[in-house]
Amino acid sequence: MALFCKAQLTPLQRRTVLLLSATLLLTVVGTFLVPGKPNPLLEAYPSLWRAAAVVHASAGLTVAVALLSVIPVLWAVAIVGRYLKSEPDEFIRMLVIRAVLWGVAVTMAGDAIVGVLMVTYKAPFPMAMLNADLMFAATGISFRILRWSYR
Amino acid sequence: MRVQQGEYTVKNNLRQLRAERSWSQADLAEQLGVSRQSVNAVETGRFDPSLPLAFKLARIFGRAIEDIFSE
Repeated sequence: MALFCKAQLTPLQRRTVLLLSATLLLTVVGTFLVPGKPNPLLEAYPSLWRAAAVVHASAGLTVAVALLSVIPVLWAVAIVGRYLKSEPDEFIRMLVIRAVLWGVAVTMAGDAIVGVLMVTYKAPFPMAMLNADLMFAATGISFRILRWSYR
Repeated sequence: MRVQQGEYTVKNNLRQLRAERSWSQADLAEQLGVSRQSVNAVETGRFDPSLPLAFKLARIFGRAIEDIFSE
């Protein structure tokens, strides 16, 4: 996201972009880490269920650990919420809300497409784990495009 | 500039007021504490400002809100 918003940022916006980038990085790292290799992040985020399967963890523990994946998502929502509350520019607030809506729309569309492909080809794909990444990226790109349209 | 919202139409003469003072959109944005895109959006009628922002505009231009925005 920071790649698309480098210039013309207020300190508040810069701080928010950095926090969201950190969240995005956490989800990306958690999603794409190769299971089987010892890594604390792997133990702490989405792919944990795979690690749990390896060590034969109980179902309850696996579910509890899987719930950890909620943390970055809630964190991102809190960051955006705090930003919207603090942003003094009402027009930019409106653009951010529209960008988030586009992010949700792209994510849902991606889920629908992947869902059809999974059923058609009977091949599983961990789309749910990529939802947060896709939404953050789509929101960032949408914001940039929306802002550009009002240049 | 006019903006159509359903059957409600708002127009403003921000561009003219700004031109009279030889202010750029960036100059006005700085005084308002908003982005230049915000000024552009209001000026072109693509975004209706809130009441606080409209009051701020009125204060900056030394006019009443009705002198800047009208139906």
